[in-house]
Amino acid sequence: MQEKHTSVSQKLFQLLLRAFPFDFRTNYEDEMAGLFQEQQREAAQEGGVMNFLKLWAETISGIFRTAPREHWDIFRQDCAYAFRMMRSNKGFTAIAVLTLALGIGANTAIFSVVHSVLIRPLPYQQGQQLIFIRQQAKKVNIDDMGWSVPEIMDFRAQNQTLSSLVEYHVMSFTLFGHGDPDRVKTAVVSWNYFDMFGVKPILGRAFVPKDDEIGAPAVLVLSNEYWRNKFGADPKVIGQTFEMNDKVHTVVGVLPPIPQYPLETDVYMPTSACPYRSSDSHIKHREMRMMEVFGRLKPGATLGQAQADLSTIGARLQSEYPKYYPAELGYGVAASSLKSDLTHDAQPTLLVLLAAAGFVLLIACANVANLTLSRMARRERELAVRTALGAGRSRLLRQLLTESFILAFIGGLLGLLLAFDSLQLLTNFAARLSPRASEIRIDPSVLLFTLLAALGTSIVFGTVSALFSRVNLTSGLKEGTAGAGQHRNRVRSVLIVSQVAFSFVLLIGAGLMLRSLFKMLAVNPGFKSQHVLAMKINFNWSKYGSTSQYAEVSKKLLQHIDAQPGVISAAVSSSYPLEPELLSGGPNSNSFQIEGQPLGPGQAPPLADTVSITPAFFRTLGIPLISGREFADTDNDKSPAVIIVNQSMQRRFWPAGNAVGQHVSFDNGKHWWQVVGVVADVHDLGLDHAPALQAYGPVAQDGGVGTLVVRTAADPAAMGVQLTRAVHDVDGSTAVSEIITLDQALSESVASPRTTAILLALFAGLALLIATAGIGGIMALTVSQRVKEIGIRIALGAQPSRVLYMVLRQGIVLAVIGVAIGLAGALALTGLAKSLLFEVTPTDPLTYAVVALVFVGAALVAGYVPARRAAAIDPIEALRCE
Amino acid sequence: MTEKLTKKDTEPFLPLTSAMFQVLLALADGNKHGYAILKDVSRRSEGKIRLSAGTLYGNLARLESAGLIAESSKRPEFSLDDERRRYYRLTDFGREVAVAEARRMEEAVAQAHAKHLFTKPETA
Repeated sequence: MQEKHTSVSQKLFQLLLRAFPFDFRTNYEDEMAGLFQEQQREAAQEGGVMNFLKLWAETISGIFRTAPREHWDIFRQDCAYAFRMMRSNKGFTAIAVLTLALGIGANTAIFSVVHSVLIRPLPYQQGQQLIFIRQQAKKVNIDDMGWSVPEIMDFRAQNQTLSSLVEYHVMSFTLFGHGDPDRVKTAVVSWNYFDMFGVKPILGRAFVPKDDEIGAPAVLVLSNEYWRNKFGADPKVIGQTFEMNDKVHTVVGVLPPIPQYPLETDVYMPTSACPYRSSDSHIKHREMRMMEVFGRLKPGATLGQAQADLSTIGARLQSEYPKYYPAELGYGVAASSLKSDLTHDAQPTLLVLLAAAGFVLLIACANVANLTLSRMARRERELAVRTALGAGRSRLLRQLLTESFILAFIGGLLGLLLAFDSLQLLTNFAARLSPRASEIRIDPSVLLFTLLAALGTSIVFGTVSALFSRVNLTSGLKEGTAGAGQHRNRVRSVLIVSQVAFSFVLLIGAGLMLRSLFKMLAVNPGFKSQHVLAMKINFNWSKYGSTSQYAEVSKKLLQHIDAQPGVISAAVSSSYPLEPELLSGGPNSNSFQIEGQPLGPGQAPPLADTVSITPAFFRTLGIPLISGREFADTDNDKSPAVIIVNQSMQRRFWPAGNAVGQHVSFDNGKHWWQVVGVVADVHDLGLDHAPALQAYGPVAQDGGVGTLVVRTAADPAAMGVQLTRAVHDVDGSTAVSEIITLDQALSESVASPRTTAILLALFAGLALLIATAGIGGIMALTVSQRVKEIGIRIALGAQPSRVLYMVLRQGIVLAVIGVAIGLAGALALTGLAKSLLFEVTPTDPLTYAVVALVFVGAALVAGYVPARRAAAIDPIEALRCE
Repeated sequence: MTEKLTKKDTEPFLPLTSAMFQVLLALADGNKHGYAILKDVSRRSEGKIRLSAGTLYGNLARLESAGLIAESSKRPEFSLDDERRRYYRLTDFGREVAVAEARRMEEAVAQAHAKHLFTKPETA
């Protein structure tokens, strides 16, 4: 019994000894086991359980105090040794560190974006409870039809699953009383908006219920950014008054520096302060929809429950007010988590980029493993000598892994610097995909990711060297052992093939994105963007209440602008093609009917994007008139209502091409507008958006003024100041903002696919370079190993061209195998990027063919130098070498 | 090898940890194997210093790699020997270091005497 007990303890003791480094164990394990046995015997002789327990306690604590020190000592020795090795191989070190820095840096940078945008919870109290609620008209493809005041009231009163439901909409108003009239982006919100998000002002107060009552004194809460930029963070801003919309507004609070969802705005006002939202027509009319709605789930309620609850209310309203929810709309209510709503546009792009960066890191790993292998060939002797001197194999493996880790760690630090450097660029890029971009930063989680990436990387490429050393350590002392060399070459070939395969997938991805981008850029936007300057102009609306007053001031403004030197033509309009606000906010759509073409039963009325313009609009933007006439000054509120339609609309409703002279109604047949002209289609919502049905009306009949477009003789960008002054000459209370050229707007509209394509191309280029260098390297090595054999071949009469071919073939075979594997990978993976492509299929044959040719070409180029060297081998020299 | 050691050579080792000093002391009067060292230390300290297996061999490894002790080639007679055991001896350098440590402690004690540390101060 006693013996059995002892043998169990002995086994347990030996298990504990595993905490020590391998070498320590090899050295002292037996002795320690013997010693412990004696100690046990002694304890048994003295008797008593306490003695045994005491022995164990001392033994365990002794081991766990000593073992970490032993490990640390070895680590320090290995580090010192590694640094010595790195200093003596500066070229290898530089290339390895740089390759790893690029790989780890790319991953860190992309991960910081993915983490901030997709992973991290919203920076609000219990952000997971926040939801975004949309009313939809699925049958006419309207994803978000907005909310009217009566609808908000109904949903707020009837829902069972939300603890609060708030409204939100954004308007631009002009703020007077602080320098030039300032056009401020204003969020109009329910009084409890900030409470729902759990945001507390850093100065003053948030809104209170009485702020929301109609007729309450108007109050403002400033965003942190606006407060800093316009008021120099002056705390005395609280209580200051400004004039907006002909009313005195008092600043009551300043927000903390939080990301503002869904849009960054300058100021916030309660619903009572918005002249539109508080008007009778908005409060009473169920169809006056312009608000967005957010809600917070009650504790314990799920999104699914809320969805069911809200759908029930929707169905109830539909049966109560059938007039406002006609069956042909396909009305419905959709609730989604705020987080997924804010990020779902960004998800595919970011995941594709993360995968690409991951590939680059894998390729970098393979490349450094390859470099390490060729260095191992030179270190064979050193390692073998160390083995002979008693270093255990695991000790050497451990040392090699430490060396790898140090390389990867330095690479990781450098990569982190690269990531920091590229952060601003990536933030600008991500801002086009998600409002969360402002949260992007390198935080502890990203640092941890970098560390893990470095650790993982070092394990991957360190293990390859270690695997090789396992085969080779014992044979290293023997001169020129062929077996190990062959094994090494095989490992290297596998590494090259995998590099080619990964690079191929990346290059296909980049190629598809580039082709898609080029297709997009080749789209004729429908207007001439060169030499046009556009700006937002916000007339002081309280001065110009009616359409005729707007028409009057627009006319006056255009006369003055036209008289400016360098101006060719100018127009005022409600929007212009590819206007950034139009892209983010969507077009102004109206349903219409065509005279003589009644709708079938249950058929939803068609929608047209409508734009108000002054007569010179088409001339200024270079939009060709296809038939009929442009608007004239005589088209005003006293003359018959007229519109100009685009070609898509003519094609759909008057395929014979006789749109001019036909009639269209935008108010269910109460009034009819006569079509007086047809213009070419314009891609006003993006080059990748097919032109919608478009209808233009004269400002003099429809009002709706918001932008000024000017065609200039010289560089339009240089005319911003002059034209702003000209606007202020006509009316000093007009706010001018967002001055950009149409070229800029055009370029901005493709910025997101362009950046994605550029990043992917960068990654792919890097991968191709690394893979090509890898192919060249292995061929040079094989040639140098085969000097004697090649010499004999030449001596026996082999033609130099034959030798050239023989060497080149090796590189091409590797490339072809890599391409074949990469092809399978690309076919499997590029489907995931489908949503990012425009008019290119993920299996686009041209892209695949070109990329495959590029690789074979790269293998030829990489192999040419070593092949030439092989062909030029002098047989006598080669044989003498032995 | 010349055995002339300067203060400079021994200095980096001072002060020795209590366990290291005890191990060197245990080897001062003859070669010993691990268990014997352990017993010697325990006996001299009247059980106050108890080295565990881990602590003992951690220190032995350190002392050995620093050259303060070495494995002894002399082994007891075959009948008394346990082949798992290794015997350790104090090297000349190890002795120097131990002496230097003892001197250091001696000086410290002398200073304590000079400051009358051991006599209880009289209370008023």
